[in-house]
Amino acid sequence: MAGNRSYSLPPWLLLLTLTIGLLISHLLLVPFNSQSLIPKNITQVALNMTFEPEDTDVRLNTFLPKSNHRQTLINETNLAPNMEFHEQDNALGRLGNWAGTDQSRSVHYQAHLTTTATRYEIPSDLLIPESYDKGYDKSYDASLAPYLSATDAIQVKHPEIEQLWKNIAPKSDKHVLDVLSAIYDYTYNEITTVPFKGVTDSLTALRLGEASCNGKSRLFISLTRLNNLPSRLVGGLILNTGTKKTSHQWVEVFINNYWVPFGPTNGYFAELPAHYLELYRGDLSLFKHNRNINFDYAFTISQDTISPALYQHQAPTVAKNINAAVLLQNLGLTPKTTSIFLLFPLCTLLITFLRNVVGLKTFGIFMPMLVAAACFSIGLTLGLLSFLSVLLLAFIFHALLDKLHILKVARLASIITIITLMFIIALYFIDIKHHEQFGMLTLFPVVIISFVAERLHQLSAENNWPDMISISIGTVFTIITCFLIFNSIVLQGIFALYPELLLLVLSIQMYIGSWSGIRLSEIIRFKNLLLLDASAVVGINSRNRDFVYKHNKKHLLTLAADKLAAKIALQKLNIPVPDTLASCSEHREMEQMMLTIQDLSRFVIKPNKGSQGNGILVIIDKDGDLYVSASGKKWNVIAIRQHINEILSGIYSQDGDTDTAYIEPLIQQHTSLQCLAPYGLSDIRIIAGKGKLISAMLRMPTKRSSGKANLHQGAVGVAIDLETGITTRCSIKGQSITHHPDNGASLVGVSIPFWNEITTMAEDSYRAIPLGYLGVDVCLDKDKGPLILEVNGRPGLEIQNVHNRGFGNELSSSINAS
Amino acid sequence: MNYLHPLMRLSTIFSKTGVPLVVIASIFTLCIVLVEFSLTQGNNNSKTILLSVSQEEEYESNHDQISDFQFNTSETSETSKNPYMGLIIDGINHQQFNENILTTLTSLGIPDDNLAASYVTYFYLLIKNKSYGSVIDLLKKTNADQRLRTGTQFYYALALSRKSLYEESLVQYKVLIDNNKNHQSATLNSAILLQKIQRYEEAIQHFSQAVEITSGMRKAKSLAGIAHCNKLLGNFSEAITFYQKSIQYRPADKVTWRLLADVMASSGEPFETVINTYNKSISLDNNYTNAIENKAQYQLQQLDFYGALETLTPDNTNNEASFETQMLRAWSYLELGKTSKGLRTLKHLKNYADISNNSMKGNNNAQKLNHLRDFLSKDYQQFNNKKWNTLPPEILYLQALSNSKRHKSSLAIQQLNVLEQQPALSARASIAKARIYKTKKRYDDAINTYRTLLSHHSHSSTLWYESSKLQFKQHNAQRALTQIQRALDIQPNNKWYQLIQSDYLMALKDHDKALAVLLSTHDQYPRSIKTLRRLTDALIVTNKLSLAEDALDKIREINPDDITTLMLLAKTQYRLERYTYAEETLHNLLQIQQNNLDARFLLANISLEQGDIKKSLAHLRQLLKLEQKYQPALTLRDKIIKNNRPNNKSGQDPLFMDKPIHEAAFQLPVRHRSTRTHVQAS
Repeated sequence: MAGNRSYSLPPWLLLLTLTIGLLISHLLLVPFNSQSLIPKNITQVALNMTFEPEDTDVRLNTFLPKSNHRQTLINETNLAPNMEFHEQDNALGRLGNWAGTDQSRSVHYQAHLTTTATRYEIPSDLLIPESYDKGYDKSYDASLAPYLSATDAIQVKHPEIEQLWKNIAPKSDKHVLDVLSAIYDYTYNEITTVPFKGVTDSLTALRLGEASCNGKSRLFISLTRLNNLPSRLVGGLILNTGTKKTSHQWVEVFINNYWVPFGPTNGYFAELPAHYLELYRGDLSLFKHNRNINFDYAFTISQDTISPALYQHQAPTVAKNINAAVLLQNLGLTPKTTSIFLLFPLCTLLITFLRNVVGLKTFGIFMPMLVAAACFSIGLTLGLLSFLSVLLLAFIFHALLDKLHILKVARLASIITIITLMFIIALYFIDIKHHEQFGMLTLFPVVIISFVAERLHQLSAENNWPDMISISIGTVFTIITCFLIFNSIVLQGIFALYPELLLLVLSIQMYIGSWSGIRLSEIIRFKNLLLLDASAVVGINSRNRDFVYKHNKKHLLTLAADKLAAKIALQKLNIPVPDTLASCSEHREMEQMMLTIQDLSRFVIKPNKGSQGNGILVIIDKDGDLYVSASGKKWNVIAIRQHINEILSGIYSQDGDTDTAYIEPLIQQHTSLQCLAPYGLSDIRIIAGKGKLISAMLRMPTKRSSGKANLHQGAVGVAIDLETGITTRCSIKGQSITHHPDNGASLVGVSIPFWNEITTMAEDSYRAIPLGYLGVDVCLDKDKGPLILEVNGRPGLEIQNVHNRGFGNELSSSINAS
Repeated sequence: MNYLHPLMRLSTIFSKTGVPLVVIASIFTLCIVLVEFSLTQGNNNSKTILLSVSQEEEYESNHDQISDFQFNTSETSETSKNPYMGLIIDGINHQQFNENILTTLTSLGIPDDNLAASYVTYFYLLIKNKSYGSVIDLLKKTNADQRLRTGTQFYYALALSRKSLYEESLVQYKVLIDNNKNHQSATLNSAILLQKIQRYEEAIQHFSQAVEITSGMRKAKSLAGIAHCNKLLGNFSEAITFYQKSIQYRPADKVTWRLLADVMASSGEPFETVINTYNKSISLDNNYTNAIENKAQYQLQQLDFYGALETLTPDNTNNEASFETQMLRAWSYLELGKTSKGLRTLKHLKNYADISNNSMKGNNNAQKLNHLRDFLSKDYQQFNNKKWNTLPPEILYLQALSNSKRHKSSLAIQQLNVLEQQPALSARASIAKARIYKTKKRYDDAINTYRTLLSHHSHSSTLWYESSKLQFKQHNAQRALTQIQRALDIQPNNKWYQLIQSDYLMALKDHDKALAVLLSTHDQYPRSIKTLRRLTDALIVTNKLSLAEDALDKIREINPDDITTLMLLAKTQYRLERYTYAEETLHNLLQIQQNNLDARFLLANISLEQGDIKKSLAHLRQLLKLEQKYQPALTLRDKIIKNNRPNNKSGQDPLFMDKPIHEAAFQLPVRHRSTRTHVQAS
């Protein structure tokens, strides 16, 4: 026998092998470089310059960032309609010049760059040179003389400056460190920092005892030059996120062939922090422009920490071509969007894992991933708040529109419209200039969220709060996990550098797809069964993969889901089913249906493709022109017509498509069951494997289940011995009981009437609708005896808990035996 | 096997469920998290450069500041220059044109109709030569379009304004602005003209527009313009805001700082804030007279008289200091009761009335000077004007003070009540009233007035000082001490405050503290007789007689002929049994004042102590020749004769007659002097 069995490698294993092969090849071609995974702060500096030349040409210039030993310019864009641009690069900086006509209006410059903090150690015994040779400053091959002399704004040999130095000079004024410490201490601590925007010369800073960065820096320079230390101003930006007009100035002192930075405003001694961007050197203006053009400008700075692999394309050509980020960015995607794109498959893998292995439920399958992507752009807190706000709004409007009896599709459409409208209104109150990332919000999956709200509303209508809470928690957890994946610098880098790893993701997805084990959440659900005999328990994965997908053909599943068609199929084999008084699949048939119910006082309106009892309207009496439902509510004709309309629109349909409404007479429960469970119609669920009966249970409604025979909602499950038709044990919500919780009737040892007929009907049902794994629901009518309510192609697994025994072994052997 | 059964069952459960997969996934996730963490930690994004290989010391990690100062709005400047004009101006600057520039230009064919820039240059130079009339004459022949085309409209408007044709100038500026709403100079000049013709609201609008379109200096000027207009409209808080904004763009401008201080003073900003602002202005130019005088004036108004004098001190030796400066100094001395110093100050202005011209201002100043001089000279009769309601406030103030000196208190108070309504003199009038109340022994009124004044002028040391004296007079020494401490907090080196503090401490029997205060004062003012006298008193009271003798010696060095000092010194020496020194001191005293009975009596006692009965009796005889009824001498003589021996065996000094020696020995002189010093400490 064994020799006849053919073994073939599963697809996921093939993919895994392929991935490993590709990865090895890749690594052989381009050796792994860990530096490309180390995260970097990328700063985006946008400079927006505007002007209004009325009758004149425009000429303006400003210093642009350039790469040097502590800052790297990654890329830049310059958008200046009707203007010519040229740049000059020299020791002072990189000067961008724009020239235009009276038609020119603005310049938009943008650069991405990285900056590094730099610090210098000054030896305590380093002496101040007595003189500097010409050309000493090798870095620029220029004389140091200008950096030692006075200017209009930097007074050096001035009596007040000299007197100041006498007051603050250290004991030893020959050592660089002592001198600089004294100067730094004075300028940093004694000169108060104030928000002067104009130029402050050294003397003014000294006299006022207060200055902004430029005054403090100039005074610092005066004192260093007085002590024969060459020094100069440096201008630039502090890279704090936001929009601003302020630039910043600090000092560089020439020490031991290095220009060492000092920040007397913010307290940096021989160091420059990473968030300082150098733009120019010298006592210069950052901007120059011609007169009478109403020049204005603003810097907008934003920062991101992303993997260098997403933006550093310095690698050899081969690697460059393999890098997925390069290919995607050639399409115009930003590094951030690229990373989202590359990590989407990994997020789907995560969601697959959470659903199929952990058993976590979420609102919508991939909706949390889309929300996480939005959060990646706007921040987790803001993103979650936005998500919850939209959800709350959608939920509220669902409830409101539901009260107005708006049809499902129209209701969803209305909610999407309302949310879009409210989003636009909200934009009026948000300063978009300062929240450019809000652009991603427009991509927010509003439609999906609206559907989520629909589901949420449905759960709340059913008072199914436990499910609602667990699904909400699951959704938020999934969003956060996906967000963490999007934010992972390592994953960004790995998937950009090694796109072949997507095959690994695929192989794992396929493995999970072929895995039929018990989900983590089911361990709790079936904990007693697992302890008794784990191999006999059937979980959802196993049910779907081993039984439904393999043995339930799709057309038969469709037939089973179509209750009217299923009834016809059953009737063909003379299997008793409730009568169909009327049906209506189109609006034009509505009148006929209304005529049918005109003379009826006890009937049931059902959706053809409904599930879990949703959409079923049970009319038990008539009061004049009004119909009285089981809950006591009175319905007029219009309300009933509205309900039928909702059914037709598919609001209760399992697949969301349009549906058919049909009317059955109200079943009078058999007295034997009525005395046990008088709170609704009990039914008998029988499970069959390829026609062989496997298990059976009686589902009895309770007050807690609101009269529904739904075990999840609190109905009592009573195990029935297939051979005898006698009840053996019963449970409610997993707890074993012996008596009905409402009326105290003993439920064990009860003999079910018509048991032989019932089992025969169940076996015949397989002949009518030959589903390998089949669930048959039977009720007992007071007058007509057993009737098959419906057949189910995906019957639930709770029956195992009712019997306190897994039916996996019997089901397998039954199916395999056929 | 039985033991292993549950484990096997668990194993089955695990293999059947997702637990192994979750474990694998968790390990995988943990690995990613660890790698991520290590990479993030490894990225400190900084590097250190060693300037010397010998340095091995490590720096601490870099702490970024949470909040960085970055106030320096990027400066902008303009590059637009008419190249044609640039060449000409360069020529002028380098003095390349030897003859009249306009003649030269004309000879060069400028302005050239074909070269628009030459027009600009030509009129620019005319303006520079202040030939405004020529500019107007030449340009009014053209229409606005032509002027706009040739770029001369601005010069036309400017020339009109320089010729005081403000309205027409405004019209021409408007033409320019209509053509280019961003024209900085035209907008700014329009605003200045509107301000000049007192159309402040419109001026503010134009200045505001100028703020929008200018940068740097021009923006600073525009902001200052808004501030100035607001000040003139009485919107002081707005004015302050805009002056402060202006200073941000032009921090080195002393005038704006001064204007800010002026408006702060007018709006009743805290005293320290106003003074600090004036100080900023003065720090930018130590000779900035306007700021110095305004500050001193403000201090005078706010009763900070010492402060005003300190402000004016840099010019103390400068006899050519301005009239205002000298007058302010004289006023300050007047308020401090230092009339002689005030008069000395006015000496520098003695010829002012002669040299002043006949202008209204000159006449007013001469009038003020003369009245002030009269008052300081105590020539109160000069202030007899019955129509005092019509007098200028300052002169009325002097009249009120004169009236108080002439015991016309009611009239003085009436006049001061009027002056209290004048903001510039309100506080000074109040303090003058308090002084009158004190003189008239209306102590409650005086105390209330001081209390009210102090609630608004707690920075005035004079107020604290005078109030403390009043409290002391009311026998509230503790409160007096607290108040004089406040005065000393403001003027810690003021000798008078220190001396009166020692008096209060002595009165409160806190002799040690008083002594400490006096020693400190003596260190600061070693030649101060008043300090030394108080110090001597304190030393005697605390029985530190040797130190007291030293102090008295110092007084004698400074003032060798002072009888009181010599007498006290002799008595101290006597108590210290330094009879020879005491005898010598008394001989010196008698050389100055031969008929000093106390000295002779003490000499008699000294001789008696030395066992020289003859000499003692000789001294007594001489004494009784001068005053036969000098009872102590008679008593002593009788005792000596009665006992028939030179020494008194009873053990009691006959000189002091049953009184404790330390008390009796110093009774007379101490009482005499202490009365004087306590009352007239100032």
